[in-house]
Amino acid sequence: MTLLEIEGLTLDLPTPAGTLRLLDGIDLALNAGDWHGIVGESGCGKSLTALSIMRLQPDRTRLGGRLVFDGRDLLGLDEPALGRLRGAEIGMIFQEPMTALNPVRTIGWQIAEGLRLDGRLGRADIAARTRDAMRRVGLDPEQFSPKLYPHQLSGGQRQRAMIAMVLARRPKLLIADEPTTALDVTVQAEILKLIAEIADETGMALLFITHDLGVVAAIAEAVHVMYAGQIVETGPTDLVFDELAHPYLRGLFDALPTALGEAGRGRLAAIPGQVPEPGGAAQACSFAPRCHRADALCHSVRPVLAPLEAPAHRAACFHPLARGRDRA
Amino acid sequence: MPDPASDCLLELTDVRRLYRLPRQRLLGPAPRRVALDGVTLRLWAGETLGIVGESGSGKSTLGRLAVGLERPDSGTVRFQDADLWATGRPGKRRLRRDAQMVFQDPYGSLDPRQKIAQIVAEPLGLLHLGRAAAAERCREALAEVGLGAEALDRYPHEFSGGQRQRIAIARALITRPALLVADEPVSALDVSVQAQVLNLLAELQRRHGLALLFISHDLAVVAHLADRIAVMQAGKVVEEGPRDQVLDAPSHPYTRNLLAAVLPPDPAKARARLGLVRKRRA
Repeated sequence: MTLLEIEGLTLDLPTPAGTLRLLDGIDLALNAGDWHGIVGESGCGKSLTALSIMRLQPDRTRLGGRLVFDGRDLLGLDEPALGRLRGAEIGMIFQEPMTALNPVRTIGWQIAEGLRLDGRLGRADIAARTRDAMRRVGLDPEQFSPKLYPHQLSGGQRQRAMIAMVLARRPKLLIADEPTTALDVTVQAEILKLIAEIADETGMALLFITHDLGVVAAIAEAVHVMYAGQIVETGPTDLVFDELAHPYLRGLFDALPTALGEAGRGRLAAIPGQVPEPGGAAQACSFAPRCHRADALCHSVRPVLAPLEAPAHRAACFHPLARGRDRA
Repeated sequence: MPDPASDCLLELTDVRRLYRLPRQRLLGPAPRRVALDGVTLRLWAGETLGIVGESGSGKSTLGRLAVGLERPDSGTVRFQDADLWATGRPGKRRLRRDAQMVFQDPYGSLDPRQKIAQIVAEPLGLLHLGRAAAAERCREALAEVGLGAEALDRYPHEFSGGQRQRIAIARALITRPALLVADEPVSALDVSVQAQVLNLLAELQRRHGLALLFISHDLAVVAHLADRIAVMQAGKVVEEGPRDQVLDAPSHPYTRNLLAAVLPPDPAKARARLGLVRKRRA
């Protein structure tokens, strides 16, 4: 059953110089229990996509297209209805747990806050659920007081507290925006595993937003690669990361230092140039200026997602790369 | 390995560095935190030593000590056969010319009110060059990092993150140093731009025979550049050796943990690293 359905999602920012299109026709369908990843570099629109799903897009921007969650049209909901949805049905965790947590409230208070807002549970039940959630994320309330404040926790513990806050309300979908980017690698592995295990136990769907191809590879069963406000390649992660059809994605892989455990390390194949400013040419492929395969067509027509060999695997490219061929 | 007697550029011997923390009580003693705890390391001319460790491991403190920005509480830091903190001012002056540093944040490390020409030329104040010679050096340094002379009259905000990091590298190179300390120089950059900066550092290192002390939390990045790798944990170097040895046959459990936590962009391998097995499908 489709839990989240995004069709032709656009986000526009009107400016005196004209309207900037920040998100350009995002399509994404996520079933209950699915684990998806959105991957891209800074400024590609991955966080804006996440915020738009929660209807938390920046002020003065205009949202268009279709956004349906669990049978409800999110673009048609009013603020009170959205308030009941956020946190309760769609949970979200962010990169920097220090700024996402309230510094003057204890973590126990913050974990229970959402449950109090729900208004369905009595005080004793809320306390019990809070303890359960803390135990589940590895902050055992027997040894680890719920009366601690965020500044008394390490980065990993804060992220665990964030996960406990989200988890306590049992949402159907968890949107995690770079949840492990600020953490050390060994802690990152623990937190990823924790999120995956909880999602597995509860049947919660995951939408992971990250710049890290390794994190997507580990967590996401389906991946959406974004560039300049558009999804440029999408499909099952195994297939997409095996074929790397879009020259941008292939470029990202070739630019990664992979010296670990492999003999020989030469020059990295950097992608020339840089990410375009938002709201660039609507009449051309936004990657064309950096692409070694670009021709006149790419500079005059904007490609849309089209199926490749396996229909579930799609790329927005006139000259997709074949598997293994043209590999740098 | 180069001849240890002649080519040793930087030598840290049993270096300890403590930071004083804020007092807990008005008249109580200020607690201290050990940032470096008995570190001994050598860096030879022309080699790249990679320092890898997690936050709080002391790797940045090590970099600051190497260029004389901080003084050890005990132990010695020798640079070009002279004790940094025994020789006084002339020693420090030479150090500022022969050892330079590049920082993580390409936004915070360039003065937003200065033009690129001023920023890049700043270390030249130590060399007493004439104005024409200084201007020539500026253009040279920018060309080294792939920027044209038209950059000279512009301000930092006009450049992207990757270009700013190039400017910071040009500033470091302008005195033609023997040692370049790079503290997380690519951590704030996207993968595609990170590759450009890593290539540049490798090229400059080869072309000028620079010694590079490359500090990063990212083992893959360190492994790409380094000839030798030192792994730091809680202020100590827990393992140090030639790159291949550290990567292929790590002797310390912490190094093994670090290696095991790297997630490769390969779904089957990455899942196996995390030990993820999905029990049920919704």
